[in-house]
Amino acid sequence: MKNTEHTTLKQASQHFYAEQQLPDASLERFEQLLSVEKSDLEDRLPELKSSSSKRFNPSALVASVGVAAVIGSIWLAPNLSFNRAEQPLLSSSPMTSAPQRQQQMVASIAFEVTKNHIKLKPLEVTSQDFNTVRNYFTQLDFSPQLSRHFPQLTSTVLTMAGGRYCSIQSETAAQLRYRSTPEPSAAGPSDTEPSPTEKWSTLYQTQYSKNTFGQLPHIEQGQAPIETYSRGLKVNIWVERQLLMVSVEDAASL
Amino acid sequence: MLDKTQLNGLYRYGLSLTNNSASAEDLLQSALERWLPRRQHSREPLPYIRRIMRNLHIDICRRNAIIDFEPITDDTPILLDTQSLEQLTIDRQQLQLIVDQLNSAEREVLYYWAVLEYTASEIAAELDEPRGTVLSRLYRLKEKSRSLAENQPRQSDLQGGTL
Repeated sequence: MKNTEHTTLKQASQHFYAEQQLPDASLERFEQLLSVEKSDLEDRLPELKSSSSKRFNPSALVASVGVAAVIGSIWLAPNLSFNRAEQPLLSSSPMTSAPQRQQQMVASIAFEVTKNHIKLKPLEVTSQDFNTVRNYFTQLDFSPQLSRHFPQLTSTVLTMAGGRYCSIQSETAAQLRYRSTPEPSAAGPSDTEPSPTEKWSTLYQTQYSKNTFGQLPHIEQGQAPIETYSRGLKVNIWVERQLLMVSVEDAASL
Repeated sequence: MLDKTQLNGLYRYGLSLTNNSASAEDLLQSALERWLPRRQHSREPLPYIRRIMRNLHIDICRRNAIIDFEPITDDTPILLDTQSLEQLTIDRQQLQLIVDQLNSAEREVLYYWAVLEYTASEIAAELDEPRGTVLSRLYRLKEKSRSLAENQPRQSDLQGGTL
């Protein structure tokens, strides 16, 4: 037997749409976007865009083209309107040498990923199983990989916690978050929200392109990763299996 | 600034255009990003943001060659009696089926008419379209809804996978 409840089309429509609500996380994200002061907008828009980039359907991509063009023009402008005290200079004048450009790119990547790492935004997929997390990323042009190098960067035990979409230098990326524990027995339950006492490591992966990211060390060729610091956090950058990998670790876990 | 109620309202409008929650969110996100730099100049943000969302959605439809805003020709019937639409009754459970049968333009006028309770003239003014076009869409909305309501016994078949 099927329950039927007859009502007018108008009332049914009102009821139907009233039930549609933005998820709390999305509401929070939009409120965050709206709270940005106009003067900060250009600075924070890429970050806010990246935090919202969990779905990369064609409509979103097309809708973002205009904004991306504006942002791109800002990033490429010789006189940047960014907060110069914090933001590494991205534009390269004709006088900038290749090593300087690489330094700038490394600083920019480190600046971007540490900002994301500190915010610890909610995971879109939570699992201790890497394959489960990897299978979540269906909208990427690459497949996230287990890094052979990443575990060697830390003396702590890394437990997969989950992942979310993000971006590095406007390239779509996977953010893989690991719980970092000193002892295996100290590992807590796999919950979605980080505890303030826990330490986290984040591994970012995106498709590597020399044109986009410049020359970076390839692990397979025996080159050592670039190690740098940003916001007090340790950042390692390398290329592995043609993926740009960037790790960020809480200083206390090092 | 916009509060949660307004954001949810805009999301629902996006849903009426896209009929997909993820696309509606993305549409809202893109529209807000475009509106933010100009927010000081927009006295009535909601209609302004809805207009951005609509234009973005039409662009997407064009690029994807989706005909969701087909032209209304002179011989397209229009809704002559709004009372008949007001009085049309359906089984509430059918609404999702009806919504799925509508194209973007029809869902949009459904949203304006039912949720925002705009008249045809108000919808036409908001969308900057001829009133006759809006009445044509309302007519189609009524016909599709009525047709589905009359075929109610087949709903279970439809839910069984024939959609």
